[in-house]
Amino acid sequence: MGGCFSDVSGGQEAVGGGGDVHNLQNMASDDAVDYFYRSKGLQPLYNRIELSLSASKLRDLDFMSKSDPMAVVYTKKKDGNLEEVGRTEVIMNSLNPIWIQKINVLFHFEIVQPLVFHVYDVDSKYHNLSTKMLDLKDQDYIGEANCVLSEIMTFRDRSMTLKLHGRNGHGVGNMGSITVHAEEAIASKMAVEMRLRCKNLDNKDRFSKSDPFLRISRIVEAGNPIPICKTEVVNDNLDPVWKPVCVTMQQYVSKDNPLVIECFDFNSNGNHTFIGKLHTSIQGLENLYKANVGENFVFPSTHHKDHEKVLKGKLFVEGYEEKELFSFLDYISSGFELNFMVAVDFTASNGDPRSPSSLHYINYSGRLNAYQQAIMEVGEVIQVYDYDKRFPAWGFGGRIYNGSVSHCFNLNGNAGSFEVEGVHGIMDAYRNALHTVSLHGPTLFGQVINQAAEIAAQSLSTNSNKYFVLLIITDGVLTDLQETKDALVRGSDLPLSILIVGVGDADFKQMEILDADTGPRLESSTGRIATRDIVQFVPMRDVQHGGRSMVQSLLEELPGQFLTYMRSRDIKPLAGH
Amino acid sequence: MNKINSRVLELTIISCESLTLAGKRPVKKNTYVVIKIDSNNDQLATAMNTDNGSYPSWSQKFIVDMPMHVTFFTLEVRCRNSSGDHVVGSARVPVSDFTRWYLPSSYLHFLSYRLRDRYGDRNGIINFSLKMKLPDDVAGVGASAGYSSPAILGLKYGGANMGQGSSHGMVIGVPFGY
Repeated sequence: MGGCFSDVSGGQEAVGGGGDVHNLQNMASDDAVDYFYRSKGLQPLYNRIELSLSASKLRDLDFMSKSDPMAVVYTKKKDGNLEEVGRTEVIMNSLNPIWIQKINVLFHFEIVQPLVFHVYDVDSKYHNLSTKMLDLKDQDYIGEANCVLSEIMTFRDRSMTLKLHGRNGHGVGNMGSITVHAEEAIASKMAVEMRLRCKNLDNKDRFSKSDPFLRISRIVEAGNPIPICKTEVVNDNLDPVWKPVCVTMQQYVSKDNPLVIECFDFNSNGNHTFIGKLHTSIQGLENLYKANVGENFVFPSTHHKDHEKVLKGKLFVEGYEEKELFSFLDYISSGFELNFMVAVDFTASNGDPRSPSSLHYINYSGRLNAYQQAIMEVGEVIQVYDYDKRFPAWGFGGRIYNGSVSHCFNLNGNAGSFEVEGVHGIMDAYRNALHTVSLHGPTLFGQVINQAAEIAAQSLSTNSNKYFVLLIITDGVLTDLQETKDALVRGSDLPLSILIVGVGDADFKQMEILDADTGPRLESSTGRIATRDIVQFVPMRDVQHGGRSMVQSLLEELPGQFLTYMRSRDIKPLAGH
Repeated sequence: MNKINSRVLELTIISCESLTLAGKRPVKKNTYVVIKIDSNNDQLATAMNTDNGSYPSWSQKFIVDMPMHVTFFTLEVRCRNSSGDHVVGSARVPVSDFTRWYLPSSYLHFLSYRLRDRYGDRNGIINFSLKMKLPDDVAGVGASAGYSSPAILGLKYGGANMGQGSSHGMVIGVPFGY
């Protein structure tokens, strides 16, 4: 999940209101990271700031059409290196894009926080990919600009327009500009879900009917309206019904805050034809729903500034529901628990444990090998959420004491119990297992995943406020890709997530397939399909070299996966806490 | 009523994704889903979906009586247009997929299956949820609905219920990573 904003199917996808999976994802992982720091007694001292970006007069880099721009925001660290903060969606065929996807940054009062904005033209062959997956080296660079976060905050309208320039400050002529608007994010769990439809829209297409979509923007005191979401495009229809949109209070601020809803006819060249607009608020939309009446769109007159032509096209609100979106933290602090399980790769590809080049080499001078590092770093993060700190621990792909190869054996060598005590318990069991188990193969995940699923399923009959996380540490290539998929598809129906940490330098392409962030949902050999993404893959080398902390990498998707499970079943945080 | 030799399921047909007709044209409208438990029995069907083209949603709930000997049931997505009533695709759902684990009987399963057309080619996905009903509830429902001893009970709730339609459709219907 997450990072869902490339303009799929030629820019016809909904952004910002599609159940706000992405926003919650960001918020949820922020929450989880906060919780981790607070559990260590560290108080985060910052405000959450939301940046809205737009640009004008960008350079045109496409031959036959206009550029398809996307903006990437970085913070410049003390050593001069850039750290990516976030990406907007891709807007098709536009030199004056207004991006909807907001970028969240943390505003530390006491630190100078230089921001750098890069604008890229995303090649159309990448339009079906998640923007998070795009390799920026493959994209055409349009220009960049920089400023300091506190600078924006000092302006009355909290907006700043920056001229774009080339790399290292070089640039020829006018390269366009980027406007950054900053707002403090509101901590609120309220959200409104609505189903919108229109009737009798004007026809703007010559040979067929209009392909309408709606864009909802919030009007701010100073400056241009800020778009908060757009619906998907309904093709060839003057009475369209859109999928439900869910807007959070972060997006609409208050029920009385004025909104403008614009209706456009989608054109693939990016030059969408304006059909009409109307001014309202969330309150106004609720009233429309209650009275079960439509409101007419208007078209501003070209001659008189204050005149508006009332159109016959009307907007209706089919469904309206206010709901409280509980956060990951609400569940955890009310007594929900994450239960951790660990599985370690004992296949021969790790190299002979006696050789210093092996990933399993134990250095008694104290330097940790790759597996020990993964266990320690991940363990430190995740044990915070596990109350009893007793972890089931297994190994796979090794030849055990009785001479047989096992794809799920108890790491502690105890046939009766797979649980070990605390992170140090995992470390001890792992070191001992290296003496008694010889490395073998092949690499099969199926059995450990099934074992974990079994435990998750069993817990449901006694306790429904547990969620399970299986950590698999592995050096590489899977032999049973289909069997693993089958196990994952079955697991998607259970309170279970799987975190795969890759050690060593192997090619981890397969793991990316299992981590179904983009692309098709996992499909089992019998045609059953995963109902949600339960896998997150983290390559250890990226964590070591990339400057991203282990906490952030690990907690990026887990809270979202947890929330998807709880919300789909309408499970609420426990009362009375 | 034959309570011992059958299970009773609460089956909610939620939605379908990327349905096409022959020639890979997206389905435009008028899709519905037929639930087939046992070829001898009456079939249950959802209402016709007229709006959402190749991504129809229903969120329509059925109470289904399923004999113990049944090992799978079939969901058939059909589409009606000017040239007739066509099968878009069907999926076989093995009963073992929701009885495999020792789960509490009232556990709400969310399940998705690949649909295949009559040539066996992949054609979209169907999403539904499923829950075993406790015998007590069933007796109540059967009595109040006034059925004598039907093999299958069909209960239809207003499919357009906002809260339900969206909360289910939202979570399940959005493919990951969009």
